[in-house]
Amino acid sequence: MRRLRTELALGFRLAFAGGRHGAVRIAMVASAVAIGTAALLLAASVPTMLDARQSRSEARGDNTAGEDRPAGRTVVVAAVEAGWHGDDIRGRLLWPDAPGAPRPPGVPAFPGDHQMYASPALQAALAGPDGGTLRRQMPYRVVGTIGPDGLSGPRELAYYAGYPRVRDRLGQGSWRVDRFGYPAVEEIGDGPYILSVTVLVTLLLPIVILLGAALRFGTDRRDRRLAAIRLIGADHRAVLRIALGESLVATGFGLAGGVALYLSARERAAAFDLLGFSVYPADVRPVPVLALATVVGVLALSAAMAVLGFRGVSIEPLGVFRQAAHWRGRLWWRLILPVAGVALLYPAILGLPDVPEDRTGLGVLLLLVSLIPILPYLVPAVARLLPHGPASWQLASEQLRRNPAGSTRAVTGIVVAVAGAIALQTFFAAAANRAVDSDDPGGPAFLVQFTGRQTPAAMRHRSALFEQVGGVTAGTVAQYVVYDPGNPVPEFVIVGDCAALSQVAALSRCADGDAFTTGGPRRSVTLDAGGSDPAPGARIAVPHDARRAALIGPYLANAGPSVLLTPAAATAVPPDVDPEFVDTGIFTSKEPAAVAGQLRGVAAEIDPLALFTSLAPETDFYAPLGSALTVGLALLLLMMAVGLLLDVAARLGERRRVLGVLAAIGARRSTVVWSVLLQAIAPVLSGLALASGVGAGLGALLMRMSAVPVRFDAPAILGPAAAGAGLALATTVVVLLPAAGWVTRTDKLRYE
Amino acid sequence: MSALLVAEGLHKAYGKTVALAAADLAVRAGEIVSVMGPSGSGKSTLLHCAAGLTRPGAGLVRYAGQDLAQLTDVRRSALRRREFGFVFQFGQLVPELTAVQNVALPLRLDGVSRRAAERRAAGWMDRLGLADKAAARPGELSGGEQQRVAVARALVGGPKVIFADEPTGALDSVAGEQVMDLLNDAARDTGAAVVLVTHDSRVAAYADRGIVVRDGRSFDPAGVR
Amino acid sequence: MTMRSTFLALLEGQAQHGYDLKRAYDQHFGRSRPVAYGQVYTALAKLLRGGFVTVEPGEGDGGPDRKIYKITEAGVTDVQRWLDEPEDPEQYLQSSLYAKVISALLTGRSAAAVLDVQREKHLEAMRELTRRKRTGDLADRIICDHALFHLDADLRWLEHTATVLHELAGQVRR
Ligand SMILES: Nc1ncnc2c1ncn2[C@@H]1O[C@H](COP(=O)(O)OP(=O)(O)OP(=O)(O)O)[C@@H](O)[C@H]1O
Ligand SMILES: [Mg+2]
Repeated sequence: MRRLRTELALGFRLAFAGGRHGAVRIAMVASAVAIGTAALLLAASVPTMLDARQSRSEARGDNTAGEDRPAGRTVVVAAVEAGWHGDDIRGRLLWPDAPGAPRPPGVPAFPGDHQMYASPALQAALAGPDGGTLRRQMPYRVVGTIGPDGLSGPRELAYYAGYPRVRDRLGQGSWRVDRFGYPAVEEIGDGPYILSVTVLVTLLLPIVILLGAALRFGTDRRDRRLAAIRLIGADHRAVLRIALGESLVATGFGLAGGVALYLSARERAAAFDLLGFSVYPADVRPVPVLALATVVGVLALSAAMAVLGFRGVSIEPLGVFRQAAHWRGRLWWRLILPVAGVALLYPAILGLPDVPEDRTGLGVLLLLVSLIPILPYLVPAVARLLPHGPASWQLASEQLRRNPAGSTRAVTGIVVAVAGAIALQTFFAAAANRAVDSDDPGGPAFLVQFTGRQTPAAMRHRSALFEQVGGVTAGTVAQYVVYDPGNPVPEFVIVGDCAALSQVAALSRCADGDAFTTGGPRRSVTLDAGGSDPAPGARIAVPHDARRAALIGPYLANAGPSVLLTPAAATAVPPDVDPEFVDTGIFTSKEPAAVAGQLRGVAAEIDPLALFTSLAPETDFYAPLGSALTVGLALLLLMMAVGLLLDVAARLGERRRVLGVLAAIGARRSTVVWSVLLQAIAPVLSGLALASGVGAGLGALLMRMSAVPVRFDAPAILGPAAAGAGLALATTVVVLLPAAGWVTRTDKLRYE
Repeated sequence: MSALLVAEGLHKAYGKTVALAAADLAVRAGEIVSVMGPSGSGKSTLLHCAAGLTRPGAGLVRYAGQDLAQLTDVRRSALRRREFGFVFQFGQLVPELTAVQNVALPLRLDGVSRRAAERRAAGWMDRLGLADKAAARPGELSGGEQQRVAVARALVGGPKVIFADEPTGALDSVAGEQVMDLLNDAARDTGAAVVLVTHDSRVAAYADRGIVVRDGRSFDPAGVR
Repeated sequence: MTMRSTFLALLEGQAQHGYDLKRAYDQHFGRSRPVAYGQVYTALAKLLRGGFVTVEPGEGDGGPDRKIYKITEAGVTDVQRWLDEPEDPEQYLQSSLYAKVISALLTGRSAAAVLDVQREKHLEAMRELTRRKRTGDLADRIICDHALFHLDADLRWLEHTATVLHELAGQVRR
């Protein structure tokens, strides 16, 4: 026991007293461990975050699933699903039936008429630039702030407004609740969880590679030291324990740093909002078991890597012996991973429906990871294929062929990162392209639906209100449902003036009094009486001269054979029958996102309960992911660069003697420097070529799976590749230039 | 008196290079035996084989009745800590540790508490005239001082055999003589045997007897006549 | 002593006339100072009397200088004894050691053994000196050191000669 303690302590001492080399080594290992620990702790906290969010969302749940509650100590609520710059706004209009009615969580008192409690993020948005446009959507006076227990997260946009008229709209947008806390019908799902865990785990791969590079740095020095200790009586296992003790120091620092990093990330957690998902710092707590697993896992990983570092090295009392492991450039086992990956992805490649996502995810992961063993095979093959060149290339190619694993180790991380980045970037670029050209260029960009009947004049007026927004044309139609039980496709009677009708159907010519049918001529239709259950209502005759027409735009997708009537032809529609909706289709010649805010304001002013639908995406859904990826890639490449730096420096140190001898026998300095440079460049270039190919293939696959037309964006491929290449070269040159002096000095040889 | 350490018929080849062809070495308790011979003749190889640091291709090494080749690494390592001491030409001290810690290291590796180990180490440092250098790191010591630290470390565990390979090889004659005087006195006082590989006949003259290695073969010149 | 033994060694290599013996001696040992005829014949006469050599009449005219001297069994043994006996470690012994080395080579014996025996004798002396030095006072030490350094120089020469024996053998036998 004491011996074990002594050996570990000796390792500690060696770690601390290692001079400049040792300090660099500790710093590198510690930072790699710190980043990894922080990432893992965050991943371990995701379940808690989701649970907290889920329980808060449920506590305010007001979805009675259509059940009617009798009036009493109840509240009438109406949902206003507004939106701002692509983020949803959760709005509730409410008015209590009785003084003691239940209040939603986070709201201290019922807001009075046209008063509201708003979330901090919404208040900030209202106070921010263009807040006036947003305010039109919620023209209520802010009287307080919704507390954290009433919000799903700190960045959520939400408000509760007092609005007495909701009592008039029961069954038509508003409903009665006797409590808050109905279970949410729609779950948030595993989407964000899988996404965040994937991102964090993907981050771990390069971290492990960096950790490996850091642990390898300066090992030859340490090994010589250990050999000296072997001589005076340490056995194999003792040496291993000393090395473990040494690596534990750095790992310990790293763990501490990781916890600090995690805590500071937690502190700032409230500032982040990804895909409408934000968390309170207090919710960022690791699941205890997972936190423990993280600590144990990191320690175990670092210990395992330290032990693995002794693979092929034997520390003997007389010195360090490296088994010059004969390079077995066998191909077959290197192909297992990519073949398995392609096999998993096969259905997705064929475009078969219903491919489980985890299968595809695993396939992508395998394909990316498979680059790691392929690269050491590829590089010597390339070195063999290239013609014999000058002496510097001969030296470099010889070294590449003899020690491919060592030569490619450092660039592997960069290659994997670049391949992943290329895949995602090409996908995002294609997705962004699609976002810009909307699904259906002929259809309206927005559809606003109101309840309640409207006269033709009022409908024209409503269109005009929307057209006050520049660059917008609008048409309003009333839409009645046809009673036809047994027919799953809804049929409509649509009433509107010629201008409005021509926006929902292709009409050859139109004058007031005309009638049209789609899907075949018919004599009459029975309107649905309305209410929650279908019931036959008024029967109206279809004029004899009704002409054929075809629905266009969003109606095409969800309507069966329908009847279109101009106001003069619609006199048969009884005035006491409510339309299902009064729809205003809005077309714009501008970017939809540019006018969305104002149009929502107009709609809210007409009726706060209007249903506003963006048919063209207001924002690029993947844009925040794309920029997150760019930042992530930059960080990743930076870490890789550090790893590469260490590796090149370490390799130079190892080869120093040989290079010195070369210089001593009269090789020109440029020859020596070029040979080292070429030795670094060749793996980088072949690796990046491989990465571009695999990345582009994966990108195409992602596009296929997301029904995005396959197209390649040159910057998306060349960007990461160029960044990787540039970084690798810059790093190598940074190490080489100052080293060029001493590497070729012969006077140091004596001491080696 | 029978020999404490016996090496017989040692043979060792590195690839095509034959380092030892037929080498013998017998060391009785407490005696100093010099090993001389031209460069590359196999002296160091013989010493390494005798100390169990290198496994001979053929032949037998017995220490206190046990065949070194039969021992596990753990047992051989324990032997190095407790029964053997080593003084090499250079590069044997751990640069990160102070002189006294270096000397205490074999004891610490053997499980002796830090306090006890460093006390004993300090005693040896004193004896070797290094009392004021205890806290210095090897890099701050002269070559002769480093070798004396190495001698102290070789002696601290109370070894039965000290293996010294060119212990004065990197020193001038004055420093070399000082190291040899100290090693000689300490070994005679503690009754440790010394195997002394050297080129220098003035160093070999400290020995009780000597053997010569030539082309991997050893012989005892005193026995030729 | 040395000349007498070297004559024996030369005769062991080849039986020859007194005149040839002188020539051979001059070639191997007498570089700077050729031996006189008289010394050769005196020495041969002594060896003859001691039974170390015999004389065979030469073919030709039968003059005294035409006799062929041949080594006897006792002569060979004497050469061996001479080579086996190390010289006392003293200064300037290279002339006699050199004579021994060449003689060993000439007679096909092991010159290395000659050197080894001498080495051991030297080392023994050095060990003794080192012991004395370690127990003596400063004056003793200085005196011992003087002797030690000289012996050390001799030993180096021995060591060095040992490494060129092969080459030397080639030259001597030519
Ligand atoms: N690890 C090794 N690998 C290959 N050859 C070796 C190794 N160690 C020794 N040799 C060879 O074995 C022979 C004997 O080496 P050894 O070191 O024993 O000689 P030495 O007598 O100690 O020489 P020196 O006086 O120069 O130290 C030499 O020819 C050497 O080249
Ligand atoms: Mg040696």
